[in-house]
Amino acid sequence: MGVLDIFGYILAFMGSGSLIISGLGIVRMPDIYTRIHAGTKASTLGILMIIASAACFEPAWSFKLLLLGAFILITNPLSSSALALASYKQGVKHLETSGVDELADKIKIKADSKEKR
Amino acid sequence: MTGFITLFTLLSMSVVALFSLRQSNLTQSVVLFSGVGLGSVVLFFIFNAPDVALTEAVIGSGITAVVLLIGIRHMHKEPEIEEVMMENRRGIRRIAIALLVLLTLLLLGKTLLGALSVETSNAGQALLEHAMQAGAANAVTSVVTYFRGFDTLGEVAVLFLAATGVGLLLTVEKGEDAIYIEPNFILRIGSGFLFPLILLFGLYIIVHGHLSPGGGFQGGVVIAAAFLLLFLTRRRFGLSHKIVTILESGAGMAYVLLGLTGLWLMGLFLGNFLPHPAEKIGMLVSGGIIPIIYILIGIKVGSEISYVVEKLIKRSHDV
Amino acid sequence: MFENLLTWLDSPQTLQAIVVTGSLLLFGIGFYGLLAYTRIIKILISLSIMESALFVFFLGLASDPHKTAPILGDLFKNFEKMNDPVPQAAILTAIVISLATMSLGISFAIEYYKRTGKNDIAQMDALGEKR
Repeated sequence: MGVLDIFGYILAFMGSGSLIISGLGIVRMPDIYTRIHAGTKASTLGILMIIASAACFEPAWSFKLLLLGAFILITNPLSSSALALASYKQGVKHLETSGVDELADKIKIKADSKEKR
Repeated sequence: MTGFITLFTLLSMSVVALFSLRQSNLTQSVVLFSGVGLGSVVLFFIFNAPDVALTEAVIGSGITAVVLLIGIRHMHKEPEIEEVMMENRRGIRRIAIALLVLLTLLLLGKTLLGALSVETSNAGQALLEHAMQAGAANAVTSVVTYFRGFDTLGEVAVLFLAATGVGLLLTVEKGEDAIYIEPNFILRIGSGFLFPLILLFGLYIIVHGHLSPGGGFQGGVVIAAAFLLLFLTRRRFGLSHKIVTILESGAGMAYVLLGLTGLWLMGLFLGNFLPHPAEKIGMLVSGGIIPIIYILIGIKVGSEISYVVEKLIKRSHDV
Repeated sequence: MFENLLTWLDSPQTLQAIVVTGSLLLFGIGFYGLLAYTRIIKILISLSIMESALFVFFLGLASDPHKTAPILGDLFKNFEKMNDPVPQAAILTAIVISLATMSLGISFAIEYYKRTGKNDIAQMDALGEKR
């Protein structure tokens, strides 16, 4: 077993751990925005780690795996940002305890500047 | 392990299907329904049918759900009676459930006793012996495009008819009723990044159809998905009707012409008249006319499904 | 005990029974939806569920888990001990056709809704039929 293989096992273990944390977060989090948060960040990291571990096991595939990683790096945050924005526009409330609502302030500022014109 | 996975997946598919039907919110019901498609992807994969698994992943749990969601968006008014269940239908429901449970138990008993022993997997064994001569590494591809190429021509004609029907039905004035929500900055820029990547992926699937799972149908639908992304994020983006017509009819005509050339040179419709030596199996350029036919099918399916999706989204007469 | 159960589930007879009963159950759920619900989207979803059940039934009976997928690769140099490709090709085309018919059905439903404002077959009376 070479050094690269050991590195691959460690990466695969950490990646699957991150995916488990992400799944737990989706179940345990209280409202939709925190769920999206948990489901995006942790799962993107986990999938990227597993792709890196696959590249360690099979170095010949690394170019295709690099493309795959880039694809996931673009699509995963993109889709969850679209989801979050859509649920905000639908009027899904966030938890009171999460405090600030920066998007509301931004929309308010935009509306104010339009009125001034 | 195969039996356990099959049992588990079938059970969860049934549960998801039941939940999907019992939802009163139609959007939730469609999202749950795409879970049924996901389950059948897993099943097709363990049944050793990666081609079908890829098709189901792209179509069954992907584009079908999108088409249903677009339909819900157009029919957004809720019905006057919430979750209508007419009185006389309740009786039918009970009788149907009782009959089905009875039939299921009967069949379960009979199969477990071995009374219903179905002889499987002998229809295509003779074809499999000749698959080497077709020159494609993927036997499913050689069945679709070569051994049963004429059937596939008919099937593509059915797709064309369906696309024509959608185009005929959904004709209204320009720009009316387009589904469009202003995207945020991230989505607008990111879709520009993603579009060429998805298009490249679709072309890859089409071109490698004779070597690996995939081919014209799957790749064509992936290309349509790339266009769907642009329809949803760009207000002014529309397909050029002329280019779609030329691509679609040109690919169809080229398919028929290839078949007729085969008839002229080899004496049978879609005869493989290009060289296809068996020792070149596995190379990108191999298999004679098989990759050419699959590329033509890919162009045809891609333009048709893109057209259908555009019509459904925009419901407009001329773009 | 658990090992025995797994091997019993893997035997061809049991596998066939699982596929037949499971896909029949799924088909029955789709059939129930077709009868019991009246909104058009629900009816189309039920039809799709029935189609999925049919595909699973067909491929499950036609495939043998001890053989491989019918694709040549680095380890498989000739078409021996491979699954039957004909049912797979048939189901592949059937899935594509199901998408086409679904979008045609949806466009009929959309046009009906735009003309009459009804998306429920219990309320459809455009042809003058009594409710």
